[in-house]
Amino acid sequence: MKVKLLLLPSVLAILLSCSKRVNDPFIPEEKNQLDSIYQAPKDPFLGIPEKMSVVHVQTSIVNYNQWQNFFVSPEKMTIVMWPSHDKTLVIKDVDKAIQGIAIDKESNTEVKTDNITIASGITFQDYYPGKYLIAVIMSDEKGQGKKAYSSKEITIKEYGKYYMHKIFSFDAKEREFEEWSPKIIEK
Amino acid sequence: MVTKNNREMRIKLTLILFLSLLLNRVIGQVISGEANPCPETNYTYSFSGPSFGNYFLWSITDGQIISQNSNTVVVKWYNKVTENGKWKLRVQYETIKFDGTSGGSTYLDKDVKVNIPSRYIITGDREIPGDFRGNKTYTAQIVNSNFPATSFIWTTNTGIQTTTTTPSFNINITDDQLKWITVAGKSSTCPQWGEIFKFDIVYTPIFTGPSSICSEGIYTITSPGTISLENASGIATLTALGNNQWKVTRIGTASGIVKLRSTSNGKTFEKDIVLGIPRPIIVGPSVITAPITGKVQDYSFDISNRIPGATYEWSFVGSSNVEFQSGSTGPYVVILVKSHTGTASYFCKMRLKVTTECGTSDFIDYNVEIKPAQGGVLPPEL
Repeated sequence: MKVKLLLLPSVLAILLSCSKRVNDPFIPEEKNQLDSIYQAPKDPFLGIPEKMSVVHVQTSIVNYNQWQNFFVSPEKMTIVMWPSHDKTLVIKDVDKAIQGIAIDKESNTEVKTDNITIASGITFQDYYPGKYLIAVIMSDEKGQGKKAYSSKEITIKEYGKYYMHKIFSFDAKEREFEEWSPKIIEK
Repeated sequence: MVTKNNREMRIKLTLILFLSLLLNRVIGQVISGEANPCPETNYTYSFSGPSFGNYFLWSITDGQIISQNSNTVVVKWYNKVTENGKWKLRVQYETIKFDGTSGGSTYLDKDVKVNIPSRYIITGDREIPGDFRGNKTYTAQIVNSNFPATSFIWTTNTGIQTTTTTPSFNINITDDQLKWITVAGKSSTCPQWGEIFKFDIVYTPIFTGPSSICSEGIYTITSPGTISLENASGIATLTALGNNQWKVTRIGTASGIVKLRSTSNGKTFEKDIVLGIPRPIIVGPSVITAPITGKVQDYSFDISNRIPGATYEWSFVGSSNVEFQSGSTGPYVVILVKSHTGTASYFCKMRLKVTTECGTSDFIDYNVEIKPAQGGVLPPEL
């Protein structure tokens, strides 16, 4: 009888303490799939006035460590922005792109901008509507993907809002182009 | 023999044991560590409870795990405030049954609020006349009031870097070299600056030169962007002279209105230039219904491509039933049409002559049909 009296609450206590089962661990699997390790912000424009255009550019790389496997880490890079309203701009030389020089495919001439920032994120505010080319270039200081780069052309609408987060893959190739991913969030 | 008091005592003791077990399971386990950390700085967090097999799995949201040693972890929080910040540390561990075996996996979360500043947008004049010299003030406007900053760093392309404790920045503009301003905020307790906002300054070019030319004209443009001449095919050519000067040259006797265009940051600024004597475009009724006997009806004529400084001289050819209301000069005239009681329309012309510094144009005719009055009813006004 004594044993029963003690056993019942003990069992209940154990059951209660075990009732919170893990069903949503967010430790990623050991695979380099961006979807599994990155969650885009639901509203990256929180608090930005309605009548204002913003282009938020953020740069990250996929990193790896023995505790967390793959994860997304902000990384300082060179961020360059060119107006390209009447041009078709491309990057042919990453060293020149770092200096703000792209090539207009139509005229085969160099187009220079001084809109160059070194940061892991920047927001361009109130740019005129039109086409712009945005490039992000990894630094040459780290071993991983030195000067790997990516670019994306966007068309800014009046009061348009754009969240552009470029995440370079873990195996980004040195001085090589990598497609822009994940997808741009636009409002 | 168990007395009633002894039984009650046992029940109480059992309940105390039960509650203490619950408290130990539910309340006794915590993740200790800084709840309001700075971003980009290493912090240590520890889990206070046991785990079967000493198994601990740590994970983090909006941060990075630097190192882990069983129930202790070193983390670095990211410097971003998107969506109010979702910084969270989670430890996953195994509970232990009373018999010493694994009771299954569970987890505990610790929410933190990182001391980072809000984003700040910049307000102030974005377009500045190219010849402006003087002071301009720019203000940093908070985006997320949950994360106020107490100091601000302002930078410009001209090499200015200054810190202010109020969200405003004064700059003395002495030329047109200021192209952009950035601002970032900082909280009172952490050294890290927040997100950077970049604001471009655009100088509106100032065009100096003639509005009309007969052979060629020299134009000086203060704060020019990329300069081009638009609508100029077969009419004029553009030559860069250097030192912010350009020459527009008329081709032969061609006439027209061309646009000298400056493009900066994707925005265009233009100056219209009249070459020679462009053919005027007359706007007015081409069919008029005359009024009934005893009435007079007025109709207006205008020029849609008026030339500044030009003189216009009108005449009416082909009818004595029409006269000008108040003169026949200027780009805008009104005619008075008297009654026409015949049965058929008659055709006449508004005739125009334009005189500019380049000379006088040929006559430009505009055909007008005047219909007879309709049954005593006044025609509708056009």
